[in-house]
Amino acid sequence: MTMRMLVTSAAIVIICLTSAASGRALASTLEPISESRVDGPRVPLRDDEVLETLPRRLLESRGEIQRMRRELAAWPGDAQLAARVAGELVRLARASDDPRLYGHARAAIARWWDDPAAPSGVLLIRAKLKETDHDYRAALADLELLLAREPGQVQALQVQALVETASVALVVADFGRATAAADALERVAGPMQAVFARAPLLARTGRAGEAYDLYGRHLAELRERSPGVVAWVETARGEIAEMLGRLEAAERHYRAALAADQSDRYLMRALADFLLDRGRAPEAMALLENHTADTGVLLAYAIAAKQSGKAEIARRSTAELTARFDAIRLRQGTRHLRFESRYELELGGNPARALELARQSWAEQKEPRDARNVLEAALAAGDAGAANQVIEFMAQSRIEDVRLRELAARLGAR
Amino acid sequence: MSWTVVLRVVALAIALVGSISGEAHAHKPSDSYLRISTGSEGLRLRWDIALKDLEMIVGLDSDANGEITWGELKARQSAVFEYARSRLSISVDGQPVSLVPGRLLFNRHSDGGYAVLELGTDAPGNPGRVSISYSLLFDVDPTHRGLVLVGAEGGSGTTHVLSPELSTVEFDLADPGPWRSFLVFVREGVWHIWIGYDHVLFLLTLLLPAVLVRRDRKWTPVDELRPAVWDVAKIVSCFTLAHTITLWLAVMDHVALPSRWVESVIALSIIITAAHNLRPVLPSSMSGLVFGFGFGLVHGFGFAGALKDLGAKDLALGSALLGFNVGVELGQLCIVLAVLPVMYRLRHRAVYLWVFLRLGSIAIAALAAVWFVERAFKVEILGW
Repeated sequence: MTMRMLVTSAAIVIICLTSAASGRALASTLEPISESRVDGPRVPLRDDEVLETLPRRLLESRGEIQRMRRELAAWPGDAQLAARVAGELVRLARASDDPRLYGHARAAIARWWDDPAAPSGVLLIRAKLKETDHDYRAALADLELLLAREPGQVQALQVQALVETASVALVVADFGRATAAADALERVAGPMQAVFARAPLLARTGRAGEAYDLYGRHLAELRERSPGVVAWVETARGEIAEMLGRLEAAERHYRAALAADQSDRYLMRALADFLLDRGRAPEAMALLENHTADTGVLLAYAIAAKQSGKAEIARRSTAELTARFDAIRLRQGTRHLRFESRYELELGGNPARALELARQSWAEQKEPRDARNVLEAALAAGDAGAANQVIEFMAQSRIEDVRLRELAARLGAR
Repeated sequence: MSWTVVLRVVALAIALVGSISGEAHAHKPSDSYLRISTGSEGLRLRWDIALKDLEMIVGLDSDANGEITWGELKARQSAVFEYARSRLSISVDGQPVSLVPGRLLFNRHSDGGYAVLELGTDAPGNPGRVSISYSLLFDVDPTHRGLVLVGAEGGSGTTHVLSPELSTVEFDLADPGPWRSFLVFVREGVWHIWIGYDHVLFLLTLLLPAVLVRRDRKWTPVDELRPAVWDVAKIVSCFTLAHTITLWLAVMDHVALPSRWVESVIALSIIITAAHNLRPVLPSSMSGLVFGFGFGLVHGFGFAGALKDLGAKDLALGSALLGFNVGVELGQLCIVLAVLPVMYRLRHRAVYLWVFLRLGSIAIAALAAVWFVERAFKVEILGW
């Protein structure tokens, strides 16, 4: 009797196992189809209707890119050439805001993609590409591989790798690593050059005043010798001033940065957030109006429109953001969780979802904006406990930021 | 290295690092959208390919002024179709089909303009199993994805994401029909009970005392199999009935409970049931039914999330609910049938009472307590 039961049970277990495990297509999802369509397909009426505009930078470099590709096709094993081509494509990707160019850069170094013994120039590009894909740990690993090699090698590569290491380490809040990179950069290139790695680190670890002064001391020299970085430095100074609550100074720095570079979208987002925090939404709108190809800019623009009472613009911008996020979800690509969290909170009116996204984002990256997203969402959702990790992090890193401190206090008071 | 050179290198690094990492770039990487449908004209495709991609591969901007016009696109129509066809191969029911170029149109997506290629095929009517092999752009852009969309527009359908790592896909085009949809949900139900280790653990905890009976405040093994089987059947039925009710309520959105609360109470249900095994308060004939039904209500909410994620609300709801439930029951039945004979055979031995029932309940309660803390206070202790 028991034997029969055992055999029957075994048979049913096996049937259930095979039925549960079969046919689970991992790549497919069952969901309503919604492509990122804005209109439907149509036949244009006129031959001279413009369907697509190519970014100016891309246009100018088109001949150059084709020439490089032909060279690469002729010499596929030439790592230096591949790294050069990939580097050029990465620069273009930044300038033209088109991530497909990162894909092209990746194709250029494809044969070395999984190779730990890849040449150093290739490693640097590989790290950069992984970083743009939010694969920060892998990027740091590649940089470490590069730096572990003979220090006597190309110093330019080493310097770039150290700056990159410091920057990426800060994104994941690996302060030990960032410090080591800044120290190494100082040894290799001198204290002045190390400012670019040192100052951002100081700003995040409770020595913001020092960081501010460090930038200030070297600004004149930088302006003279390397004007290209002035915008970057002034933006950094503006952010630190904002952290310290020195609002007039912050605005001065942002405006100075804008004067040096009118198309830096990171700067625009920083200044826009500054203006939104001061209740100057219409100014923010004017600043961002022509740059909404960038998703972060579009987000700030939508928020500014909403706060300015421009309901129609807010609605349209929100719909466009939704389409962009949906398109990324459809391709199962790397999501902009930082943006999505704020979108859910400020435009979607969904604090619970915003909090969930903010926490997911926090797991990947730990910059002040990510902390702020968690705190704001937690406050709006009435879930103080959800922000515990962030508050603990703030205490440990000793970050001085008046906005974060104020948000934390409001959460604590609940 | 001279000072100025170093500074230039650093500036270069800054430019490369650019605005601080952690900020995502504007649009998304390259995608194409390949929509497959059947109709009166047989198997047809509509393929949206980005103009920026086509510009890089076949060249569209003939006057090199940075603008791609409709006229310019039309002029390159055959080159575009040739390139597209060379990177796609389709077979239907094992037979390769050829792609017949149709109309060219234009469509705008969230990240720019796309050429729309309509393609007919020489596939026979009523295509069943479709197999697609896709290689557009992968050689020049490994971040490109081919999104194969199967099914009616606006309604529910399937999306397959094709990449250099996964560049082929197979699927059935014929409408699965109500029976097959039902089976899909049965399968999902079995799967979710198999991966729902907290539900399984609750069930096991509930059933542990089934082969014993309390007489004179002591656990004694039952004399015959049949009463034990009957008891188990009653307990599982109560559990089933309860979670069916709440599953239905939750999927229909008649009742919405916060998932954090539901998950915490599920953990609590395990603790209480396990504790009761150690210190029985209710008569053994009742405890299983009471806990099974009472906590079954909460467990039903736990399943609802999974069923909702499967889009049950939009699809044939009755069939989905029934199928999913049948699946859950089958899964539970498996577990019971696997466990019950062992329990019955061992019921006389001291090891059953001391190791399985008592020590087992303590271990289960401890695990469930960890889960409770993790879920109620949103901390991570074990991570599973």
